[in-house]
Formats: sequence, structure tokens, C-alpha cells
Amino acid sequence: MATTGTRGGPVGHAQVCEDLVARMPGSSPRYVGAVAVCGAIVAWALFAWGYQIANGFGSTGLRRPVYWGLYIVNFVFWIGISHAGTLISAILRLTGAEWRRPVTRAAEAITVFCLMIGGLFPIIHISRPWIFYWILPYANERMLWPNFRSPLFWDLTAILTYLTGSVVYLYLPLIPDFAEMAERCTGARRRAYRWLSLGWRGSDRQWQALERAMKLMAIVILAIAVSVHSVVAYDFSMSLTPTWHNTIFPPYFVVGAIFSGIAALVVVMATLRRLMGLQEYLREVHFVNLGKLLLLMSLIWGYFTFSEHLTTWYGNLPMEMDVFQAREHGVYGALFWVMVTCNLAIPLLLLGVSKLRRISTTVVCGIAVLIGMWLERFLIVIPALSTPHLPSIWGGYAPSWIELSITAGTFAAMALLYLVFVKAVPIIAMWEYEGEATPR
Amino acid sequence: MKRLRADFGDRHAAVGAVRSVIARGVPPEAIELYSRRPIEPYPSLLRRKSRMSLVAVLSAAVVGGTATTLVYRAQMDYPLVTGGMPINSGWATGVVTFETTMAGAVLGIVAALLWEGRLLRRRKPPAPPVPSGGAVIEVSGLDDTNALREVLLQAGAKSVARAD
Repeated sequence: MATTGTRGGPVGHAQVCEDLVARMPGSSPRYVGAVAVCGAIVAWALFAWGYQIANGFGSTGLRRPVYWGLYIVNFVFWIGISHAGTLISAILRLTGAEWRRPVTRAAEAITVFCLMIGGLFPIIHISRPWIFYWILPYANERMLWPNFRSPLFWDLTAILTYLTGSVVYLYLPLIPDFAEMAERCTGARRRAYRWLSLGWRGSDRQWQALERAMKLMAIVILAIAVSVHSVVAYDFSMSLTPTWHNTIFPPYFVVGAIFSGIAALVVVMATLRRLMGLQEYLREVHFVNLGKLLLLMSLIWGYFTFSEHLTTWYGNLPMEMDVFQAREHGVYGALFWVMVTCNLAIPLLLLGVSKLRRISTTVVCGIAVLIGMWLERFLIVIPALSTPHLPSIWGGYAPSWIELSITAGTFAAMALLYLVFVKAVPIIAMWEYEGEATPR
Repeated sequence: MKRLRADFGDRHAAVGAVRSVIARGVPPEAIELYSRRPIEPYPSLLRRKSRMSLVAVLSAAVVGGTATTLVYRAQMDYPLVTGGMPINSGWATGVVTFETTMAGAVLGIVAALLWEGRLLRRRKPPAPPVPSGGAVIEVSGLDDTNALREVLLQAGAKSVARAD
């Protein structure tokens, strides 16, 4: 029987390892069922994508003047959420916040999975995915190089760099745990873990190199993360579309990304806590601290949103006011006020009062912010495209079953990736966490 | 040359032992300290020299510089119609330069970690089994092991044995 601490949690490295490995899901009917459900939704989404490829873009709801629909909304949303790992892990690591230890791996995994999913959307959006490689800068037979001045090419470099950095940043702290897991497994799993541990021996030389690498990676990944969402914002702000050609967009997008990233982390942590029984590890203090961060980002988001709208309103340019009116009082008005309620009112109400700041309220705020931030992306993309410069081509957008299926499929894909991840890897870094001896 | 291996049930006792061994004139390069968790704070005596930051910066400069040159050459050799704007612009290329510079830094960090951490090496003796919560010290290049054995035992080693 493992030694337990005053809060019922395991104490010491051996007990923590044993406990965390024991909590990794086996092949229980519940686990298999969850994988099957997620897999079925993903399969349906793949079918929808195949249908779109076979029948062309006309089968979607995308048509003049709205050529960027749910695909680009989802692209911005998922890339935004990917900032969870960066903020929680890198910033908290650099500032030496000890409470980060049980939450960093969950956050880093979110980053990698969200980038994988988000990065798919431009490929889905071009409708002819087999020529995606044309954007790669190589001396091809067509003697046609990509346009290096295009924000879409910047997207490619930024997202590839961020994905590479995030995978490395997730993988580095996994190396000692892979070595630990190799000792606890047999057969093929043991060989796989040993191979993944890269020959880790636990020498001081290796610990020192790992710590140094992680510190440097934290610095680099922060810079990349800020640049990535700035580049995503450039996709919009470099165009002359009303309300998009705006200098506030890059920092506004970065703030929104961090905001939604924290919300996603809160929701993922609460889910893991409940399903894997991690109550001794992911405690109220973690949710309360993340709740405070969420509240701070909510206020910053509110400030940026107010500044953006005030500037547009005061400028009173006819083509911008058309979008402004449509977004606030017109056909999208209800969505706008739901967004404000989710992103500002609910966090202020539930997290602004210290007595209300609990696990349940933080999770409610996390879900509300995820909904609100998805709506924010929708309200940036669709109203501006629906009301372009020429009123004669104004139009609306209604997603077809294809976009809706693919959107649902990405959420299922996220869950599926996480299900596979928690089965293969302890969701809390075993070597970083020493039970209740870990300072908070 | 002989090698000694000492098992410690307590990681902090192992740190004290390292200090004692170094005080006996053994160079830090001859000492390896194994543990399942990093020993914090690291014994400053064993701090290895690291060039990871330098490698990261150099790698960043090389990759970023190469990518910028590629972009410049491609734009000049195969010019696009830009509507009167310059063929090559530092503003637009700057984004690509930044991202590839960062990618270079990431590659440099990974390469330095593999090198300095001596990872991915095939011909390595097996790692000593480290007790949970404890540590193992290996001292190599010794002519006489008896004196050092006493030092390690006095520092709290549970057992000391030849490891060569």
C-alpha cells in the first residue's frame, strides 16, 4: 500500500510513479467505448471531407461573398487554443511557479494536438489537398516559387515552426518518464519506451542538459507562440476587408489565444481529474490559480474588444460601420452579445468574487470562454465577408452538413488524441512531481 | 584504472559525498551522479560546462540566414508581378526570417541536448540501478579505491563496490 499524505495523495517519487501508472486507463469497456464514439465521429468527418473533395466546394455553404467560413473560424480557434501549453508551461516554468508541475504536461499536449488539428484546416479549405505541396518553397519543375510576401506562406512557416517547437517541448520532459515506464513494462511496450527514452540513464549530466534545454525551449517557444498568432492575425489585417485592416489585430489575437488556451486547459484538467481520479494531484488550488489567470485575460480581452469597437465606431467609415452594425445590432447581434456574456460577464461574475472561485465555477467559466472565443472568431470572419465594399454582392453564410461534420470531427479528434495520449503516457510528469512534498 | 560505485538511499547524502570525493582531489569529470529525479539544487561542484545556448544561437543564425538568402534569391531570380511594390521587402521577408531563426534555435537546442546529455549513444555501459529516492555515484579513473571507499561510506553510502 502506498504511503499517503495528509490530503490523501501519494508522497515520494516511488509512490507517485506507482500511483500515476496505475491510473493510466487500461482497455476497460468505458475507455474502448469512448474511443469508439470519438473514432466514429472522426470517421464521419473524414467521409464529409471526402464528399467535399469528390463534389467540390459547391457542396459546402461557402459561396460569394463568404469564401472563408467555418474552416477558417476553426483554424483560428484551434491555433488559439494551442497557446495553452505555451502560457502555462513556458511562462510558469520561467517564473518558477511551483504549482505548475501537475498541469504542464496536459497543457503541452493540448498545444501539440490543437496545432495538428488547426493546421489541417487550411488543407481542407483549399479543397484540392493533393496540391498542398505547391506552397512549399522548393525548386520545382514548374519554376513557380510561392509568394513569400503572402501571409498564407507566413502561416506555413509559423505553424510548422510552432508545431516542431511544441513537439520538442512536449517530448523533452517525457524522456525521463519514458525511461521510468520502460522499467515498469514488459515486451513490446518496454522496447518502445526504451527506444523513446533515447538512452536516458538519469545521470547528473543528463538532468542538467535536460533542465537547460527546457529552459531555453521555454524562451524560444514563447517567442514563437506570440509570432504564430500574430501571423494568423496578419491573414486578416493584411487584407483591405472592412474592420480587418487593423493594427490592433495581432496583439488582440494573441490575447484571445492565451485566453482560450487557459479555458481549454481548465476544461481538459477537470475532465482528466474526474475520469482518471486525479483529485489528489489536480487540486482546488490549481483551478483557482488558473481561474485568476482566466479572469485577468478576460479583462485584457475586454479592453482590446472595447478599443477595437470604439475605434471603428468613432472613425464612422461607411463600409466599416456596415460590418459594425451587422455585428452588434443586425443579423449577428445575438451572437455578439452571447460572446460578450461568455467572455466577460460570466468570468467577472464567477471569478471576480473570491468566495465564488472554486473548481466548479472555474470550469463553468472555461466552457463559457471556449464558446465565447469560438463565437469571437466567427464574428471576425463572417460579418466582415458578408458585407464587403460593394453592397450589391452582400450575402450571408449558412454552413452545410459538411462544414458542421468536419467541425464536430475536430472536437472528436481532439478527444481521441487525448484518449490515446493518456493511455500511453502519465498525464503528470512523474519526475517533476514529488507528491505533497512539492512546494505550492 | 578502476571504477567505484556507491549506492545512497538519500539523494542529499549523495550530494555531500560528491563534495567529499572532490575534496579528495578527484576531478568532477570522473564523477557521475545518477538519480531518478533531478537533485535540486544541483551540486555546484558538478556543474558541467554547457555550450547549449551558444549552439542554439549559432544554429538560429545559420538556419535563419540560409532561409533569408533562399527567399531573397528566389524572389530576385523568379520575380513575381508585385504591382509596383518592391520585389524583395525586408518587412515581408522578416516574418519568414523570424520563424526560421526560431526553428534553427529549436534544432540547435535538440542537437546540443543529445550531445551534452550523451543520448542516442549505442555503446554505453548499462546504467546502474538507482533506488527510488536515492542516488548512485560512480567514480572512474581511480588508481586506489580503498581510500575513496572509506570516504563514500562515511558520507552515508549504503554500499560501495567495484564497477569495472
